[in-house]
Amino acid sequence: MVAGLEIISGGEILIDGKVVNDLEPAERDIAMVFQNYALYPHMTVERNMAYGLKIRGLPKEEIAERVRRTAGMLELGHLLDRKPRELSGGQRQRVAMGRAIIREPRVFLFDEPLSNLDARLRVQTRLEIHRLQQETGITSLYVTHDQVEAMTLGHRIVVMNNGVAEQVGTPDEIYERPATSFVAGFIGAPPMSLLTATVCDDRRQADIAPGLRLPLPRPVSPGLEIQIGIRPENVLPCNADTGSAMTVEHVEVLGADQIAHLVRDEARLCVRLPRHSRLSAGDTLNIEVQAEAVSMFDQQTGRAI
Amino acid sequence: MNSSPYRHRMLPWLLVLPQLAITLVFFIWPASQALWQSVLREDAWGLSQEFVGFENFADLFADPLFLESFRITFVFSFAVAALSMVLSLLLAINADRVVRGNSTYRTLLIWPYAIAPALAGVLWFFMFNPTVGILSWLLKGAGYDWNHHASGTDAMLLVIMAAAWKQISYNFLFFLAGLQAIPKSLIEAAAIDGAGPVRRFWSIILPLLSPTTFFLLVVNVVYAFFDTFGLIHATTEGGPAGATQILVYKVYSDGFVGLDLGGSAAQSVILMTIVIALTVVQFRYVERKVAY
Repeated sequence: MVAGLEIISGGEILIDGKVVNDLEPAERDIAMVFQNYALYPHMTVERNMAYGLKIRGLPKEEIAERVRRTAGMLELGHLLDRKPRELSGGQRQRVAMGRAIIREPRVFLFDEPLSNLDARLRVQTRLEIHRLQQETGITSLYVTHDQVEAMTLGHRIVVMNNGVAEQVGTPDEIYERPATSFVAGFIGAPPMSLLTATVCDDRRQADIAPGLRLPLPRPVSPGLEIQIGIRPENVLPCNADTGSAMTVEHVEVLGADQIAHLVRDEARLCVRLPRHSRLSAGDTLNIEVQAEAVSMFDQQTGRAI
Repeated sequence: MNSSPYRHRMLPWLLVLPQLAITLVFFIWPASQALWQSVLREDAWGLSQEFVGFENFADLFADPLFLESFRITFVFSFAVAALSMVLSLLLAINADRVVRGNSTYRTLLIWPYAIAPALAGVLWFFMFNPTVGILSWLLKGAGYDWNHHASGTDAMLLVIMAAAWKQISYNFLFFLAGLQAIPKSLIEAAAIDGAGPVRRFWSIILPLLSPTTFFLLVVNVVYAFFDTFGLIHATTEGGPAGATQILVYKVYSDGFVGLDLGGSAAQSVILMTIVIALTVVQFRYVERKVAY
């Protein structure tokens, strides 16, 4: 849609303050990195990268110079004479980026560029994209299902759900103050634990389960049913006299830390524990939660309260 | 370890036996007959035979009519291949763009393929009939006096059109499949790179279609060479004055009308060589796909 490949159903798209709704893809001065790379299979790496420049009618010497420079930046210099099918997945990915960068467009579009790469290459390429974005300083629109990519690469993130933008914000804002329960339950690994709670009469606490009460950050009308969200790292283990007891259902060892899944009646939440905690399923753990760390959402609309 | 999935050693042989029998009776036997005939000279009543070695071949290559037939065949074949491929590519490109009614459109375009070559020929023959044909009447209105009974050029154009029309369906199917095999994202990438529709066609679509194009070129030339006998027989019968006498038709008319069996057999041997050459081309290049 931004690229001009699909028809816009409503609203306006502006690039550099100019409405581009009615412009052809070629006239929008954008470059795109496709999920499947979409390299021209019958052209060499060099011709793949030069194609857009040739169409723009740049002089031969300048094209050659730009190809040389871009290839150097992406370490593709020794591959210029190869055809795409003679390249590995990571190399094809770099060629696809090279083809976009070489044009020096006003906007980059990335359509899940890393999803066809294996995990190790993905981390490496993610850093590379980050570096290239910093170096070129070109506005980039990056579509991904991987929230790590979104959090690490994005300056501003738009969380989309069924075609609706749930929240627009910096990575920090999205992580710390999710605007809806969808965002809360999506961002983070594991994401926020979402619990149904009834506000107590004192307006500052809520009942999660019989005998399990958590503090609220702001007073809410008593008796109201709300959803509360708590990040695993904000749940703190404590002594039996101050905290509430919950049963450990199972423990996931992640290496740097552990995630314990706790349960009490219907209520479930996750807690992030240091690496050497010796907990196992069936143990009882006392926990407490700081009021400021609790997010509240409307039960019906899912919006943050 | 036994790599064969069959328990009895004879079973595979038994299974291919019908095919082998058919090949033997209908291909190998007549072919060897032709080879043998081509070195004989026989009188028109089949009463006497004489071994003449390569004399039949020598006669052929000294015969201006045979060389003319060669030229006619090449002109005819490449004109048919070019015309039908260009038209079917145009149709395929448009069919590929159609979203609604796509399958109806496709089905309709495939129909001509079900028509026998002779019928296709007769159809066009009638449309261009100098006295009653609708198209010749239109041409007359446009100031052109069409007569394929008298003009060799008109006759040639007629058989080219009829033969090409018949082959469009086949080419169309392959081109359409070829077009649909090109990932949409490639076209989108080219659009974003700034290439307009025409440029995209020449620099992306056509090169990516080249395996299909090459395959169809071979198939079409073979078709025009050998499968158009019925069409020509039902329309011009090689005339006027041999203007549409392609090699296959000349084999027939020399052998069965002119009763020069030796000369006719020698011609079919030459045709056989051409088929073998084309098959080799097909296997060497098409099977391996044209490299891109």
